[in-house]
Amino acid sequence: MNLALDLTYLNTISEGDKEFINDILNTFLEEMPKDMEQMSSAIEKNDNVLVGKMAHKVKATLHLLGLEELKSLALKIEQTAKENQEHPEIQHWAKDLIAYMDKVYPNIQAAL
Amino acid sequence: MKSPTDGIRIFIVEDDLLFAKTIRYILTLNPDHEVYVCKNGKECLDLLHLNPHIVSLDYSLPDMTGDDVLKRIKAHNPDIGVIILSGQQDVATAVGLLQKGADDYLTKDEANKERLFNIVEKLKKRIFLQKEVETLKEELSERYQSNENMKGNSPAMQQVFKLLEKAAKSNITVSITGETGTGKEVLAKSIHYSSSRKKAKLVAINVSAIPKDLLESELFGHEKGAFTGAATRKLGKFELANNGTLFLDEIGEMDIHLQSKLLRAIQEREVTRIGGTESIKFDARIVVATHRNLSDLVEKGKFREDLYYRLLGLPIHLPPLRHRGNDVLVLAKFFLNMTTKENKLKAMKLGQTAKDKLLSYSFPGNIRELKAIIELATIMCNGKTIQREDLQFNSPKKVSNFFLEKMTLREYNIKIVRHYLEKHDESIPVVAKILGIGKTTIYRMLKEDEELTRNQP
Repeated sequence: MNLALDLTYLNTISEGDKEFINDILNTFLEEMPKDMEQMSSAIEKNDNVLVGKMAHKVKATLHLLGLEELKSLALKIEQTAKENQEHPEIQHWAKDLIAYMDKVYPNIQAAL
Repeated sequence: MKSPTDGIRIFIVEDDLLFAKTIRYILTLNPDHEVYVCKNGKECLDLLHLNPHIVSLDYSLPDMTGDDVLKRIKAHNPDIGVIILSGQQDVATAVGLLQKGADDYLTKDEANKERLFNIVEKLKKRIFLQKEVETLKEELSERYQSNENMKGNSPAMQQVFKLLEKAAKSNITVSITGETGTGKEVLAKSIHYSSSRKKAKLVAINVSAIPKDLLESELFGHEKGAFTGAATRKLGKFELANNGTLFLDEIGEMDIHLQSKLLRAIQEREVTRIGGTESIKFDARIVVATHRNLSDLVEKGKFREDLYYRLLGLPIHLPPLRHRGNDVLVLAKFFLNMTTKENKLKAMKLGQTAKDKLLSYSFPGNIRELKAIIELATIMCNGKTIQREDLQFNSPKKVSNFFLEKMTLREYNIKIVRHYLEKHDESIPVVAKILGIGKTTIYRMLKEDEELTRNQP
């Protein structure tokens, strides 16, 4: 899994506005752990619908930071949960997503 | 809806804060955009009273579906432009929302600066066009009313009409004077709509109605961030009136410090927005009006002499209604027809007693007061003819105009007696003492008056 940030999109739209990019990265560090916490809680409650919704929610954020492989994983969780919420792999993938995300945070810190 | 020239208000309805911040960043690159972020559907619906021009709506929200929010937005105001933002896999649903009233859609993967700006600009064009159509409709209706309202056959008004014609044929600054309610704004509109500038806007601003601190920004506009609260760029009235007419009502009330800036703008024919550096040329005819005597204000040091001469241009004085003779009846008939039509009432006419009463009154509130009197009379009247008793004169200035009414000595006497009776709880002994007459005299006067009133046709 490639967990390296690609800030091309943010740099392009902001023409390298460091203040804006830092704000986005800081927001990621504040918001993403909360979303992952909710996903974790949904896994515990066996609520795959909520797992799918949380995957949907983080998807666009992952795209903004160029984390395309993680985004594909989130998309797979979302779509599978929508098509068959009893699918045995949903929670496994979601746990993977949470674990990968923990490894992304240091990369974000380093980019600040 | 707020005029697009005052800024475009955009709501971003999005639960993903990062994505919302990114979209907000892109949209606020244009200083005309005033952007709000709503983190769910409810927050958006609660803020609809702010009348957004455009809403960027995430298809999938935590509390409501995009479908529900779209319906509620369009029910609030169908003119609000709605852009649906969805994931790539939800495109089919997003496209389905286009059939339900959404204006465009964009996948989040494609939400780059160019795509977003293109969509927003397309919607802005539509909003501008709608606003333009609305403004034209309003102006057309105002033009019709203005020309209709300029009525009168009196010599004083004939002189006004001659000057109006001269004003319309030139670009000269026009200064209108006249008491409150004499129709200064109506005259300004007539000048504009009779002139070659009639296809452009007539922009009016009442100097006395706007707080001193806000007037400068209203006249000259401001740049985004020029002061606290300047969330977007705002165009001033001078810019908005370009190629048209700028009507500055109650110019005598303008703060002396702002007068120097106004003088400079009129002399140089250019303005600079507050917080801006660019000089913006304008081409507008200036019409000013005041109920005050500007030369008196100049003498008292409250109005700049150089500005006074700059604004004087072609002076037109509107006579008070009490100096316009039978124009009172011409205008009364006009307002009577207008009021009955507007309120879908049966046609009415003025009876002779009503005409006499109108002609004998001094109208301290001028045409505005006459209009109000006629409107009330249409309600008070039980038949098809307005009678004397249907006309109620409630001007706070009426006592000072007491001697301007045409009455016999007997009528004056009874009026004085009734005035004091009303003031002293109908106590005849008290009034008799005040006026130095006997109580029986008062009883006799009241009895005679009642008999005369009863016998009136």
